[in-house]
Amino acid sequence: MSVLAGFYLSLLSLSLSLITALIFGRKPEVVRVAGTLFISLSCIFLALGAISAITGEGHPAEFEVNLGIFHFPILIDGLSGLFLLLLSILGLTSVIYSSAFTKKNEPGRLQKYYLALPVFIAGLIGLLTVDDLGLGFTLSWQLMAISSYFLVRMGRPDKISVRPARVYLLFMEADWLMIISSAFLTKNYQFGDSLAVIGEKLAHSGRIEILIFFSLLLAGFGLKAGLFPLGQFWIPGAYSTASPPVSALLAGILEKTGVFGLIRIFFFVAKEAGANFNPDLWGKVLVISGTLTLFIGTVQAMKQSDYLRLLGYSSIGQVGYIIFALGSSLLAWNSGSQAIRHLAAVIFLGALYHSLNHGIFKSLLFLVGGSLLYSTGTRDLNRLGGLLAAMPVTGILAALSSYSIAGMPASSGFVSKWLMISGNFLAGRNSLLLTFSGIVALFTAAFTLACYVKFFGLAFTSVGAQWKIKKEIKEVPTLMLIPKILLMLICLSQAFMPLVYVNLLSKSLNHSEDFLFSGMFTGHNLTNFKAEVLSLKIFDGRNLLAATGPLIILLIIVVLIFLARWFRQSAGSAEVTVPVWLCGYQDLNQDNIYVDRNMFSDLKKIFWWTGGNKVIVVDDEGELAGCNAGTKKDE
Amino acid sequence: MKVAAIFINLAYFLLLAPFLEGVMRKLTARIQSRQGPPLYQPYLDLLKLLGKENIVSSKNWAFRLAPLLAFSSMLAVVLLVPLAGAENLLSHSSDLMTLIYLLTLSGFSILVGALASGNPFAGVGASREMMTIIMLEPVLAMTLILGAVKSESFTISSALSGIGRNHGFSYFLMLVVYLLALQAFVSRQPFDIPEAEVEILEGPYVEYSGPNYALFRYTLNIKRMFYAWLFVVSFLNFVPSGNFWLKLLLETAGILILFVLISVIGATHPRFRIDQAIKYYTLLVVLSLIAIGLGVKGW
Repeated sequence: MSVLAGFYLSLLSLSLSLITALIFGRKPEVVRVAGTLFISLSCIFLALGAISAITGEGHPAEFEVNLGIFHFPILIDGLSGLFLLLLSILGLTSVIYSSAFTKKNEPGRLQKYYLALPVFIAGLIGLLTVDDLGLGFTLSWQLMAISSYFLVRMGRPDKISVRPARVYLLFMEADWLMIISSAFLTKNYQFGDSLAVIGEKLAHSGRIEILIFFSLLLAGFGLKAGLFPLGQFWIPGAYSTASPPVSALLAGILEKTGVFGLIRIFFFVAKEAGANFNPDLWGKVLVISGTLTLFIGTVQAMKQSDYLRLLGYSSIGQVGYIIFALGSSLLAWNSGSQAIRHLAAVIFLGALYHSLNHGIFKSLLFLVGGSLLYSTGTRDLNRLGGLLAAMPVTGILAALSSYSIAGMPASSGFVSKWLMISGNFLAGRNSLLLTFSGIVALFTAAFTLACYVKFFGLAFTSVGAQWKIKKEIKEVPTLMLIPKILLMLICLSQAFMPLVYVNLLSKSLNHSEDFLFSGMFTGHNLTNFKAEVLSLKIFDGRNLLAATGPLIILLIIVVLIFLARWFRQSAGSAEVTVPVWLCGYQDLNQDNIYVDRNMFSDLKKIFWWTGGNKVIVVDDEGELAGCNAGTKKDE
Repeated sequence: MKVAAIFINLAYFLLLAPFLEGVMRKLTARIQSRQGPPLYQPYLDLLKLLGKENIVSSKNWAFRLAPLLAFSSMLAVVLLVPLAGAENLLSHSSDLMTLIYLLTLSGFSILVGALASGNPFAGVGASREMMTIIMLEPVLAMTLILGAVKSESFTISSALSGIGRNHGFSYFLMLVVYLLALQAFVSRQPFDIPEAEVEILEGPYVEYSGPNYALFRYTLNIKRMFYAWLFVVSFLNFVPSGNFWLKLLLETAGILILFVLISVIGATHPRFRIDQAIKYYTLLVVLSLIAIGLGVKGW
C-alpha cells in the first residue's frame, strides 16, 4: 500500500468511527464495537502506510492539502513513518483494551469517549505529518489538545478530574502559542511556510532572533515531551487522571511527538540554517536539560505511592534519556573527527531506539496499571500486595516490562541505553560534561530499578491486598490481556532482535531528506563502522555488539540458572510450606506488613531537594491518603 | 584455551570463595579471642544447607526464582572477567555496561525474593539493600569508567588495565575511594546494614532456608571475592607477568591480603545506621566524581 493510500484510508476510517459515535449515541454496544473496529482498521492502514514510508517506496510523500482557502504542506518521510508506526501499534492495542475497559461506563460517557478518541488519533497523525508551523500545525495541535482534554476530563469523577484537565489544556495552549510564534522570528516569514523554507530563511536571520527561535521551540516541544521543569506541571496530573488506555497513548506517543518535534528542529531545520546554527551551544543545552530531566523525573517517581503517578514521573525520566542522547549526539557530531561522528550516529540511533522502546513498554505498564485499577479499584501501592496469585498473566507481564524499563541485561531497555550511554562515554571521553552526564545517566538506572522493584514487588509479590481490598480480585478479561501480550511480544523482539530494529531505523533515516547526519546510515557506512570504530569496540563486524549481546547474555544466564537449579536439587531436599515467621509471637496481619510509604525513606530524605515530595493518592471513592515523603520516620 | 578459560574462571571463583569466608571467620574469631571454626567450615555449611528441608513462606514463582537468578547473574559476572589477564570466549560479547548491570541484577534478585517472602523484616532489608545499591553502584561504575576513560575503550579487559595505566592523581584518589567503599561492597561491618542479623534477622534472607539459602550464601561469597579480585587486578597491576599461572597465583595472594584487611576492619567496627551510611556513600560518590574529572583531564 502506498504512503498516501494508507494515510487517507486511515483518516477515512477514523471519521467513520466518529460518525457512528455521533449517530448511535443511544446504543452503547454499537458505539463501542463500531468504534473499536473502525479505529483498529485505521491503525492497520496507518501501519501499512508507515511501513512503505520507512522502506521508501518512491520518495518521501510531499504535497499540499487544499481545503478551499486553507492549504498547508504535508511531509511523510522515513522519520514520520517511524513515529506513525509506533502510533499505529499503540493505537491498536489501546483501542482493543478500551473496548473491555469501558464496559462499565454509562452510555453518555462512552459516546464522548468514542467521539474524542478518533479525533485524538487524527490530531496525532497530523502532528507527525504536517510540515509547517502555521495553519496545518495549528489544526492538528488543536484537534489533539482539545480531544485529549476531554479524554483526561472523563477519566475520573468530576470533582477529581476538573483541575488536572484544565491545567493540561492550559499548558497545551501556552505551548501552541510558543511554537507558532517562534516562526515569526525568521526573516521574511510568511504564515504557512514549510519547515524547509523556514530553515532556509533562518540562514539569513539575525543572531538574536535565531537564539530566541530555537529557545522557544526547545521549550515548546520540550514541554510536550516532559522536559524538566515544564513536564512536572502537567504530566503526573494528566497521566493519573486520564483512564489508563488513554494514558498509555499519552505516555507512549503524545510525549514522543514532542521528541519528534525536537528531532525535526535540531536535526532537520538546523541543517538548513547552516552556519547560523550553533551545534555546540544547543548540544550542551540539550545534554544539560536532558540529564536534569532524567535524574529528577526518576527520583520523583521513586517517591510516589500512586502507581499511575509513578509511571507518569518515570516517563519524564525516560524522555530525559532521549533528550540527553540527542544533545550528546549533536556534540559528538560537532567534534569533527570521523570516528567520533560515527559514534554520534550510534548515539542518535540509541535515542530513536529508546523512543520506540519507551513507547512500547511504558504503554504496556500503563495497561498493566489499568488492569490493577480494574481488578482492585485502588491506585494506592500501600493497599496492594500479593496479586501474583490472583492475576498471574498480568503479573508476569508486569515483571517483564519492569525488567525492560529498568534496562537490565537481555532486555530492550538495555539495548537502547547501551547504545546511548556507551556511545556517549566513548565520544565524550575528553569532555567533562559528557562524562559526568553519562555517569548521571548510569546512576539513574539504579533509581529506575528502585521504582519498578517497588511497583512490581509491592503490588504483585509481598502481601496486603487480601486484607485491604474488600472485593474479590480476579484476572482481567481476555480482551484486556491480548493487547498487553502483543506489546510484550514487540518488547521482547526489541530486546533480542536489535539488528532488525537498527536496520529499520537506518532505513527510515535514509529515507528522510535534509537530515543533519544524512549518509551515515547507508549500508556502506554501516560496514565502515567496523574499520573506524573497531578500536572502540562498538561494532563487531557488521553486527552491533548490542545485537548479539543480549542473546548471548540470556543464554549464559539461562544455562547458569539450570546449573543453580541442579545445585539446589542436588541433595534432593523436600519443599515445606510454612507461614511467615515473625519471631514466633504473632502471625502476619494487615498491621504488621511492610508498606510502600516506608520504602527507601532515608534516600527520599537525602533527595528531598528534587521535589515531588508530596505523595498524593486519591482513590475514586474520594478517600485521600497522603503523607509527606521525607518527613515520616524510617521503618 | 579461550573455551577452557571459561571453566577456569568458574572453577576458580566457585572453589575459592567459601575458603575465603573461612579465612574471614577464623581471623574474626582470633581477634575476638575465640578459637574459630576450621578454614573448611563454609564448605561443610553449604553441604549441610543443601540437605536441609527447603522451607518456603510464599508459594509464588518470584520467591523461588530469586535465589537462582541471584546466583546465576553473579556467576555470569565472574565468567565475563579476564582472570589473570586472559580473555575468554565470552569476554568479547560483553563490555563494562553488561558487567555493571549484571552486578545490579544480582542485587535486584535478592530484593525481589525478599519482597516476595512477605516478611516485614525482609521488606526493611530490601529497602536498605536497594538504597545501598543506588548509592554504591555508581562508585563501582566510576572506578571502571575511569579505566575506560584512560584506555579509551569500553571492553572489560582494557578498562581494568586502564585504571593503573598511569599513576596520577585520579589513580590514587580512586584507589582510596575503592578501599573506603570495599567494606560496603562486601557488606561486612560496619556496612552489613541490609542483613544486620541482630537487628532485622538477616533482612532479605529471613524467610530463606536450606538449599535456597545455600544459593544466597554462595552468591555472597562469590560477590565478596569478586570485589577483592577487582581491586587487585585494577589497582595493583604493576607486576607484569607473561605466565598465566604465576599471575593467577599473585592475584590470589592479593585477594588473601585484602581479605585479611576486610576481616580486621569488620571485627573491630560496630555497624552504622542506614542514614549514617548513606551520608558516607554520598561522600564516596562525590570523591569518585572528582577522580573521574581528574581522569578526563589526563591527571
